[in-house]
Amino acid sequence: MKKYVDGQYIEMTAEEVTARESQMTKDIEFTQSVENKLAQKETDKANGRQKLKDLGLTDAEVNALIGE
Amino acid sequence: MASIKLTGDTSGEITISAPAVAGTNTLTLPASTGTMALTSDVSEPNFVRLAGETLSSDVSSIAFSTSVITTTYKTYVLYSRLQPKTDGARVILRVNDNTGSLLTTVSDYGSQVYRGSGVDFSDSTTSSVYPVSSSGNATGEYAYYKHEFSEIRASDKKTTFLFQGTNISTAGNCAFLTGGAIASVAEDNQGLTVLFDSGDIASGSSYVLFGVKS
Repeated sequence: MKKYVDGQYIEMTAEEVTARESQMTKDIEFTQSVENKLAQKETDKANGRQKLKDLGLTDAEVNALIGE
Repeated sequence: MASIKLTGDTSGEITISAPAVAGTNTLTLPASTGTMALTSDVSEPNFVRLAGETLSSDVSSIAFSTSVITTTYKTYVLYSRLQPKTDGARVILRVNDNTGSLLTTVSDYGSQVYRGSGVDFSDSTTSSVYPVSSSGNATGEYAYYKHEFSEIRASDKKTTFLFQGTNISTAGNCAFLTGGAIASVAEDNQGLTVLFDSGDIASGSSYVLFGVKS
């Protein structure tokens, strides 16, 4: 595995490869946590929309309320 | 002959001269009508190309040390066209702290992103300058980004980032995003690294970095 520093291709040391792989694991976990939060936000939005519609609001009225 | 003189119709003259040690050189005049400019008439560029290349090998990251990210400029602009080796990876940026160590924890950055199709992301604890959106790795798929960053070498100011990106798919679809980010601590950030959150940057990817004169 190579890294590219200031225009030079440099073979990474075993320690650097290990550190990179460890960091990737953390980065993938971070991304998964972000995706989970965004998915929950969408679920909350859909649930909120449905509750407003259950109260008798039209889609157009809900859109106006939430700025869509 | 060291020089030739062209006499004005009304008055004066212009002398065209060769240096004392002239070598063997040819000066070719343009084959068009116009007025030649003096070096004093030509402004120095305010957008200075510092680095750029199309990668000839897969790499884990593209890094710039203080040899490239100097104190000469307060603002830099990085254009990148990167293809990930791993499908669904995100282009992230990280800076070094004032000792040269890469900052990688969630206390090191804050990021805000608006992504096409209505995603609004804001997190004051991200582990990189984080774009939310990901890029595919099929032939023809890539991520195109412009990152602007300022005050990276200032010890008393936080480094700030503005970025725009589009992830292109083979189906012709695109995912646009725009955002901003900060490094959480005001310090002299001694270098910057571009990478994917998963996997390498593919050979054939390219970038170019400019310094912007104040």
